[in-house]
Amino acid sequence: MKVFIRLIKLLKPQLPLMLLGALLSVITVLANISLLAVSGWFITLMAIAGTTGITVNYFTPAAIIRFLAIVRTAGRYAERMLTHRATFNALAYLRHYFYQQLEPLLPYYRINLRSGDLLARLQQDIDNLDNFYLRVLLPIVVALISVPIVCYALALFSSTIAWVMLAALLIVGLIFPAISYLASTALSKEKSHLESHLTEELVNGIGAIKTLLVYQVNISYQRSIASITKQYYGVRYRLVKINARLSAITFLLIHLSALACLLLLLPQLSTGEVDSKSLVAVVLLVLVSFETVSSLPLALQLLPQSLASAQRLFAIIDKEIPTDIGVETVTHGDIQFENFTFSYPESKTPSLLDINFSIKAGEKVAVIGASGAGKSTLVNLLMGFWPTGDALSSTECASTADISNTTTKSNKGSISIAQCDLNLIARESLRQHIALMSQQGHVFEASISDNLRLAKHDATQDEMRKVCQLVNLIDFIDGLPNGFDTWLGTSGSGLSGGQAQRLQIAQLLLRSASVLILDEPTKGLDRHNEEQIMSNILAHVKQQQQSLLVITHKPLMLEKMDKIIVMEQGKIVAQGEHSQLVNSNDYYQKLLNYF
Amino acid sequence: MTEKNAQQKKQVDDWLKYQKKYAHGKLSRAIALGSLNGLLMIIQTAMLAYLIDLVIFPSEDLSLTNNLSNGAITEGTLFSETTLISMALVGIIFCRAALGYFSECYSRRGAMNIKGNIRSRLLNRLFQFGPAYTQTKGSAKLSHLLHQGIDSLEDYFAGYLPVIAYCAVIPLAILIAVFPVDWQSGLILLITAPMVPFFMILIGHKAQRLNQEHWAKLQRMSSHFLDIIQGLTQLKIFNASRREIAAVKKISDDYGDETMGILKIAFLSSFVLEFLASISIALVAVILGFRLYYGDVGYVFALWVLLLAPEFYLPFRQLGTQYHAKMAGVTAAEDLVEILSQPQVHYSLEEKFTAPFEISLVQAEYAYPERSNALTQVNIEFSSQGLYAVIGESGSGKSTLIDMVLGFVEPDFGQVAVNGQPLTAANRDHWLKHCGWISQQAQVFYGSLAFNIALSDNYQDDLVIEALEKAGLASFVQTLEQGIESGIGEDGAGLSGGQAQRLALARVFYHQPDVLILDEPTSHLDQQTEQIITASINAYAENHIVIVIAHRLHTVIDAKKIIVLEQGKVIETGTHQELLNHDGYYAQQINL
Repeated sequence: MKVFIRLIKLLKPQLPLMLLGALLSVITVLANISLLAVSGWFITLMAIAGTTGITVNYFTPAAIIRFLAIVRTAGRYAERMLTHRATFNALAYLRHYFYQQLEPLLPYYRINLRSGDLLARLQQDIDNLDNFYLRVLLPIVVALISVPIVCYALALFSSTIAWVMLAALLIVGLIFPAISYLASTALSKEKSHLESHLTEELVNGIGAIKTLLVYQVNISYQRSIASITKQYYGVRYRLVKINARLSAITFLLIHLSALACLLLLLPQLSTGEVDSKSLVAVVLLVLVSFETVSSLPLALQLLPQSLASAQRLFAIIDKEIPTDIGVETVTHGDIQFENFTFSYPESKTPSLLDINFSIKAGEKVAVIGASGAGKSTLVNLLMGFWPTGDALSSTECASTADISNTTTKSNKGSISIAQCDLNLIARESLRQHIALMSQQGHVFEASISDNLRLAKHDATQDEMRKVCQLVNLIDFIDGLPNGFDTWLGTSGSGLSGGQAQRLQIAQLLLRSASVLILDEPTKGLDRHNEEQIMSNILAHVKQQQQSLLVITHKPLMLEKMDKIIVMEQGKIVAQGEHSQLVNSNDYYQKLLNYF
Repeated sequence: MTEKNAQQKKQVDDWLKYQKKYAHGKLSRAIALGSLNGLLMIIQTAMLAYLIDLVIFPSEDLSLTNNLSNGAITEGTLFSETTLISMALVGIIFCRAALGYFSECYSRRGAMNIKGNIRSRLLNRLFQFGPAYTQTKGSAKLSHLLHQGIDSLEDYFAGYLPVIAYCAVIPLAILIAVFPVDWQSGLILLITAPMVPFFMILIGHKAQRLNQEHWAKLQRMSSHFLDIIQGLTQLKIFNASRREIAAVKKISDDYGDETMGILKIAFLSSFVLEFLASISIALVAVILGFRLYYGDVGYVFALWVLLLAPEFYLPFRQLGTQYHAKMAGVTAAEDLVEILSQPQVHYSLEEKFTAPFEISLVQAEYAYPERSNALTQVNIEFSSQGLYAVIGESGSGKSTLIDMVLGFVEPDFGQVAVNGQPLTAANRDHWLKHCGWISQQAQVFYGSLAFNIALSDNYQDDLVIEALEKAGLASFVQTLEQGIESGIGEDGAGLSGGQAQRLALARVFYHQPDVLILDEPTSHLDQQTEQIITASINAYAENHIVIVIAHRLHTVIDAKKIIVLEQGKVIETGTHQELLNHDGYYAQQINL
């Protein structure tokens, strides 16, 4: 309920439009119902007039019929336009809202949005909320308003019928869906289980197609898929049967209640309490009145889903926003790690242990080590994505108290830039000072130039050409029909892994930062490009007087570096120049044997 | 372009229609029951009209026969007739409910049969084409097509196709019923009926054109938000995340506007449809009213026609709601047709291979579609037992070479031959009987440990245990409660990377292939595991042909022959010492 209220509150700016849409919906539904009822009433009137020869005022009912027909049609059109407009407004608003809330949180909570699963769920959740108004809220509001109106109208003729119909509408709109929901819970669970099992088997099997073929087990694999499919469809079929049964019973109830109303009215007809015209009108009204609750079962089915989605999204955005206490700005100076130890709150063992090293202005430093050695943690901390010990302990909030306790306990030492503690530097200024090409870099679905301009929003065409030249991308781009305006991403023309990597290096080179960090820069590049681009980068930083930090597990141009830091399991095991290490360090020598 | 599209569209349509036969008559039965339901509806409305007529104007017919002299009898006959008709009406309502139920069940069942069948056939074809094909198509995309893609056909078969049939049957039946009784009303229905599809096609075309124009744009916009969320860290790195806030709002607003533009057309089409339906119902009602007034028509018929009028338009309206089902079905079918219409591979039954093997690649060349050559003029021989190592940068053609030896890739030029017999798709499976394969990341399947080794439910326990021992997994198995019967779950849960790799090794020892091909694991295994695996493979190479894609140079030192690839060409071959003496690429790497 809390989630529901919060969601409604969120949608507040859209409420007037939404309510107007709902009102139009109600009018349309009521016009539709009355159209048939009035028609029945009218022809009965005319029949009676015809047989008895009494003159009647037939202009008014005929006009009403035409009027209702127009209201129904125009109303439906206007209602659809209005409700969809409201839906899209809400969509824009919600997306804007969620982005605003998510922005300060990432990547602080290490919510890995690149993992397909989480992203898919986020997408599903946002889609569910997109439909919240149209599929959930609207049918409920329409039912809530129009059911009493219909019952009131029926009560004018007979209170018994009004009560009978209220019961019937409630049964169709609420009780039947509830029963079918209860009847299908177990099956639905089984269905989603089989569904994910099928997905998994298919993904595994197609991924392992070579193994399956080589060991000649593709036939038995195909058989196992066929049998899962059979089971899966078996369960789906049982669900279909439940639904079909539900609609059959609903159908029965609708038609039997119309008949029942007719028979219930018979005694009143003979006593003259109800005239024959009204009888026809009531019977026809009853037949179509179920339209008021026709979308209710689906809405009630979707309601828990929408609320669960909202709850998940709220849970993400309700996380404590990391405090940015930094106020200092930084423009130049050495980076210094001093006796630095760090562990993530949820892990017991430290990710970095007693780190001591410095990057002086203009220095070229390489950090090498196997994956899991703590290289990326080092970068994340340097970019200010995680507060180090001191910053966390200064937050007063109770919920972070335990985190800060554990972190301060194990986090020691400091990172500083120009003798200023990293935490005291404003994040904006820090990221102006240090630029990073991360391993998880993202190429946006936008044009090449848009992607480049993300790094430098006022980059000129010349600047862009220059950096693309440095990363050997210019020939490729000039060869494209749209050049720099070529659209990238899933819906545009794609880049190969190596090209995407080079584009990201180009982005980095556009940044006018004092320190450039490259995290595995040559991943996916062939040897020729690798060497050329690395020497271009070295020349570029030299010219720009930038410091360079290269994180790598590949022995590449290490002899050109001023300093090499070898890491293993969170510790620095050696540091020095290439010529020193190549003779003294075992691990370093071994590393050189890797391709 | 348009002609090609039209042709393709026709192919897809034909294909979809052809699939109906796999429902084994269930769809036809569903449509027959649904149509019968429609016919009963006509009778039901007639009876309801008659019943109402009976209770409203009882005196009229009765006064003629009974002359009001015997009230009690009149009452009695009236009530008995009312009861009789009510009973019949209840009967018909029950029948219709049952028909609706069975029709729905049959149509869904039929659609499921079709889908299951398509899935089997598609999977079969994919296995025929092999990994070279699945890799170019993308295995993620193919698994999605196999599951969700095929499932999106359900509404096409169970929803759209039946409604199409009802559109033909039910309105026609209503016209046939109405015309003899009251031709004027019939005429109104008849005149408005063809206008419905006419307008729908007219508007549908415009909507479709608009759709196509805006489709790419809409796709971009709808994924834009997720794109931004996905790249939020990247934006932050560039200090650009705040700047994007405004863009999110603007693009979402634009998305709404664009979509509304398209929806407007869709709404307009249903507006026209509803307008026609409403106006003709109103017209029927008003005209009937006046004709009743002048005594032209009986009340019972008038009421009947009035009740039938909305039902007349119902199938057309349902067709409108099924339009999406149709579009989704056709879209999915396009991808399916593309794969299923590829030529079949005809297996040869005779060509068998017998050990010892001599594999030779002669002037072999291969290029992936629309890419530069992956392999150029490759001449290699794997002629006797021993360890062969293939090394080279990523993208140098190592995997393609291996795929060629396994018969998954047929060279565009030159040939791959086993004992002088060319290797083709037709005899591929015979050849694979003699091959073993270990991939870079060991694959673990859902099932027991023993199943994972034998890859079959019929395994010999002692052989499985022996294989496990050789792979150094025996002590691990002893820690498991159910031994080799233990399930090792989805995605190799419960197995470390090293254990999974050893499991793949055990698989080889169980199957004892004459030719073993493996892609050396690059993920870091602990030293002990690495040593066990290297030693086992070297031992295996003493009696078998073993070809390894090596990523680490220290593992290839003892190889019988090292093949160095660069950009699809063999640049050096020889033993470690020979290559060192040659002082080329390999020596350069070693001395780095």
